[in-house]
Amino acid sequence: MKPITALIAEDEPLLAEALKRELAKAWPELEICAIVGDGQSAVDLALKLQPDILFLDIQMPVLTGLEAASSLASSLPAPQDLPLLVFVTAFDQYAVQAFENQAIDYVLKPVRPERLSKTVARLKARLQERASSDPVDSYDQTAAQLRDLLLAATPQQASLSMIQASRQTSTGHTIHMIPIEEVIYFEAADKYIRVLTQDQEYLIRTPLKDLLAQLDPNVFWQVHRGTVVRVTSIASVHRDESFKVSLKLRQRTETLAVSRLYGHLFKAM
Amino acid sequence: MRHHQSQDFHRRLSHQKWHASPWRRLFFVSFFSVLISFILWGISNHAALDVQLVYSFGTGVSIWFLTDIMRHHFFPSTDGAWSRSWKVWAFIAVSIVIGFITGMLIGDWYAGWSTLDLLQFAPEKLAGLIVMCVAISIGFITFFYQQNRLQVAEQQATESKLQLLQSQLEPHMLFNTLANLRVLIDLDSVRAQAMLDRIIDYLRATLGASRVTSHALSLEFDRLDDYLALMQIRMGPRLRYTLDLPDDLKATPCPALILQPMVENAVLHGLEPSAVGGEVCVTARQVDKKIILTVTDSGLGFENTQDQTSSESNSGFGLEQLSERLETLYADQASVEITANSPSGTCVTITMPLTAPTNETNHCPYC
Repeated sequence: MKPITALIAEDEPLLAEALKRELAKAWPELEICAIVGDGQSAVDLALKLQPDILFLDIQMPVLTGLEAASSLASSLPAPQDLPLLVFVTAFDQYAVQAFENQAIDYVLKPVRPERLSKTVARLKARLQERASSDPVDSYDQTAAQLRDLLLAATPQQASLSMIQASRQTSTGHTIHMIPIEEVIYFEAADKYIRVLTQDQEYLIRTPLKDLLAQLDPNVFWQVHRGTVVRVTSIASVHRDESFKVSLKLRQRTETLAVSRLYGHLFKAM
Repeated sequence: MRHHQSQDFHRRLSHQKWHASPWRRLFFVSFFSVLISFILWGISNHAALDVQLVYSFGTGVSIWFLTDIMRHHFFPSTDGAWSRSWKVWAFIAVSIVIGFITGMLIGDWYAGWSTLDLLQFAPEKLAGLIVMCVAISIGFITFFYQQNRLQVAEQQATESKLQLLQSQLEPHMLFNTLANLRVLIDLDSVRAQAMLDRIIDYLRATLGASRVTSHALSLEFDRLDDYLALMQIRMGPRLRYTLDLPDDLKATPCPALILQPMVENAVLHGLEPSAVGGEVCVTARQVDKKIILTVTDSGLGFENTQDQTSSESNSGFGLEQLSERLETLYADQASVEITANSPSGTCVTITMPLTAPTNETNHCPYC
């Protein structure tokens, strides 16, 4: 039988080492396939090594644990299921205790043996459950929780009515005022966010997660890690044979990819 | 223990209030007025003492009222600092003139004669009075200003300590430090002890009763070493650092904990968000009569850190607080500059005079 494998993502080497040691005591058969120090490496290696379990520190460089998990959930091809997720945090950052007894587990640092053995027991039970259940259902369940966690991590703020985008011109720079009603979609591009209206494109520097907190969730839907689209601008949704979902827009010609994490938004009535 | 500290804190607070209050200054002015009356009474061959007292008090209190209470009312921002605005200086000059005239009028009313008569039979006496009044006023204003400035400097030093304490007690920092310590106890107890010693030194520097506003550069660098060593235990190879303090600068005075927030910025906003980390380098150099302190990091640089820091922008606060402190202590003799480091990262350069800030005192913690 293939050994059960786990990946640890923790940016503080001593704490990573400690988690590995505690796991070796609590679950000697578990094989740690890799230890990484940032969120992006966690996603890359998880895709490559396909571990059964992922221990994710919440506060990590490049991508936080939460962002890493959602990025992984988006990148995994269907019908492959997510690894079992365990968030590790030094303090109760996102009220994660709400997820006790749910698909996503969490442990507090420093990891206590008695708490860890509870987690291990839960992980073992879940692995057994998984062997007999549909990976798509199990994915959907975990994905729903991840989306809730992401939502909890970006508390909703007063909604934005104007986008202020600066644009370099030959004689200096101009701030363009764009009413939010004119925006068709936002797309993350490197350090910037592209703001697209019917016939214009602007760049802003507000991080997408800060922007999301100021957008009405009934008006704008996140459909991908880097894409937020106006719901009423979506003309049609297409699902191909490999389960890839894409959107056609009313006012613009390009098609937008929908990641798997947000695929649940588009089901026929 | 806690009770004792809070009591001490309260006493210190009320002491500070009195120390900086206009009533204390009124007390000083009154005391001086009595003194002057006696002197004038003595040199004027023991003319009426009560008349002298009325003149002195009238003039002193009038000028105090105008330059202290009224100035505070119109220019509240000038409480602790010399103003660069001519309006404030004009206000003070006019205040002295009006205060002098008011004092004379009160005295004249009491004595039943007119000081203006002096103009006819003893103009040099009137001139002497005016010169004395102006000289005493300038003396007082300078003295009170210096005291006030010291007050502001102490307050800012306390704020630095509080800020440092706050950053150490920030939950993510605190719990991660403790988690690391717990691991080290098991793994390497000698290193665990060293780490605990650092934490203790750190807490002593922030919770201690000391009210020093300045200390030796070597002490400043020791605190940086504590902080960076703690962070290095946590971040491992992602944090490398060098502290470069030449021997002949070790005893040089430096505003307490002035570099700390800059180093924290470098680590938290420059290196922590980066997967590969980088290096922090702190140097002290003497150029002519100035000290140049630099904090350089090879991290993300202020251009790229926005996604991690936009919600907790205490980096800007740290820099603003730094320039305010330098301004209070050295006026325009010191400066702070923030530049991009090549190929990546940020460099903060502080230039300040070699000498201790004027009117620097080290208080006994319990007085």
